[in-house]
Amino acid sequence: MHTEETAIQELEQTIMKYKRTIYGIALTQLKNRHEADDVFQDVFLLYFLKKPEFDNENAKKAWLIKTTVNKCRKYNYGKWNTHVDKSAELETIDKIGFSSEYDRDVYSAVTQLPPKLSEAVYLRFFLGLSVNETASMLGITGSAVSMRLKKAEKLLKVNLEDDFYDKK
Amino acid sequence: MTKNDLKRIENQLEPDDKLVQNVIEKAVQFSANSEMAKDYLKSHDVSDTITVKHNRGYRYILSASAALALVFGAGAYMRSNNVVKTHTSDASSTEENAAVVTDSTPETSVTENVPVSESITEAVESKVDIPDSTLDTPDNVADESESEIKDDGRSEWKPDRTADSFETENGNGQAAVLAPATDEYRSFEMNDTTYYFACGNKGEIYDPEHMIGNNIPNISYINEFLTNAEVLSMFGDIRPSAQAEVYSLQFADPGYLVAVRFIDVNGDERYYLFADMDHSFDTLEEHLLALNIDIYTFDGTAIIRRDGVRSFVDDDSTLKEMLLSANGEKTDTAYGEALCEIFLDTPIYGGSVGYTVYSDGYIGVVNGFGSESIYNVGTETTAQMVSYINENCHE
Repeated sequence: MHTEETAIQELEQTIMKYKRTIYGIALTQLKNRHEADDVFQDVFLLYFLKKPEFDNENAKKAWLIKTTVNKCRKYNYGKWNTHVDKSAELETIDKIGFSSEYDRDVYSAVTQLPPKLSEAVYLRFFLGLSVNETASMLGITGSAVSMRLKKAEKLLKVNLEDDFYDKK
Repeated sequence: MTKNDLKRIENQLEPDDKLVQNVIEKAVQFSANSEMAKDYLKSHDVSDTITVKHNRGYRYILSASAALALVFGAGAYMRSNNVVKTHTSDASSTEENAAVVTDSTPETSVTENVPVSESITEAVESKVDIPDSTLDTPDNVADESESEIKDDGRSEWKPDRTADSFETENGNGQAAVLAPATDEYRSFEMNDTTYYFACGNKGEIYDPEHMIGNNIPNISYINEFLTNAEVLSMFGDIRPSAQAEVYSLQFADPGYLVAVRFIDVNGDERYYLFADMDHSFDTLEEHLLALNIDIYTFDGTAIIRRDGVRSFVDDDSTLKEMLLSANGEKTDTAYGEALCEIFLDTPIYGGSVGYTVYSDGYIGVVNGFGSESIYNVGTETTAQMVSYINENCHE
């Protein structure tokens, strides 16, 4: 019982620490609150049930992110040939309640990117991972990450009429 | 848009408190009912590592990509007659403090060189397959960077050899690179040490107090030990060393390339080259000067991309000389039509550099990190390059 209570407490602490990270990835990739909620739940329950062991906090974070990315990819698999309800996506973004129209526009532009590009953008720029870490999370090479970021930045520049990321 | 803007946006993507509560409640239920927990796990489990369907060797590399942190670009290869590029630098400091490097020897593959920790091996073994279309297979990765290139019917090109040597006035070295089609990572030898290429700013690996990135002296020596630094885990699965030894590397612009020797908890050591991702020069000449010092060539056919189609030039030495002797000031915008792209592989800049030639006298330089600079080299220079390509390329 004590062990179970400890495990539940540990889960709670983990959720409080990483809830925004995991939810942000899921929401950006799936563009739909219901599916993002499902992925959020799945990721933390899998963490609770599988009880993976980590040498350090960074490895734990990496596990959570990779699991979220995989989950989102599974959800998105096959969507290309099915009708996607765009109005549901817009409703999701509307309901987020951003503090400014600027934030809303930026986030909306990112979610409009193809999933492969928005994955890389979110991990690299929103979560602040390095290119190497992003590559590791996505299972691709660093060059592929750089190329995707470059493509994404070009698209975002057109949509936002501004440089997406000030590197300085 | 700044880091703060993006962080602020990310902070607003908050899940409902009710969702969090639901997760905790479900976890409590699973604690009390193991059958329910098992069923859930069975139907919801997904791999925590990204699976790529490929041969075992590549999967090993991919899952250990965190450990190796290697970067390679989808570049073309310029033909060489095993003659290495010799650079005559007018920067006397670079001539004085040269690396003495070994003669060419065949490259050994990364998989042979790199020991694997048990946790990484276990990660490889425990993978679950995920449908291909959701994953980046090696083919897709190669296609990723060349998605705009039409298939011209040629099979994928690759260098004739996997290793070559290079020589400068200050020494010689060995480098190895393989085409993306073979999905093998790139390593680079200097002074009998194999370096793996990693990207990122130096600030990511250094103890901020040391400020190594800003304080490398202008005159420094290959493998001159500078300092120990605490290194956080930046490669995912690899466990960080308590200490990393930081070495300077002599370069045209010595502030931006350093070598780091990692010793992990198993006592295994690896050397990494770090380059400033965003480094760009004020003139194309300075960029090429930096490149020339360590540039090397490979047996292989030069490939030019024009109108989305690959073409080949039989003798690329003249073209390369034209490119490497170009000069111009950095500018913001390239004007004119993008006529062709030429690629070089290098041990720096993320593994490859691409040059886009524009009709109005501009050259856009993109490195393997995706960092881009544009230089105004003049219409005469670009016209010469394009004219040479037109006369000597064939599809």
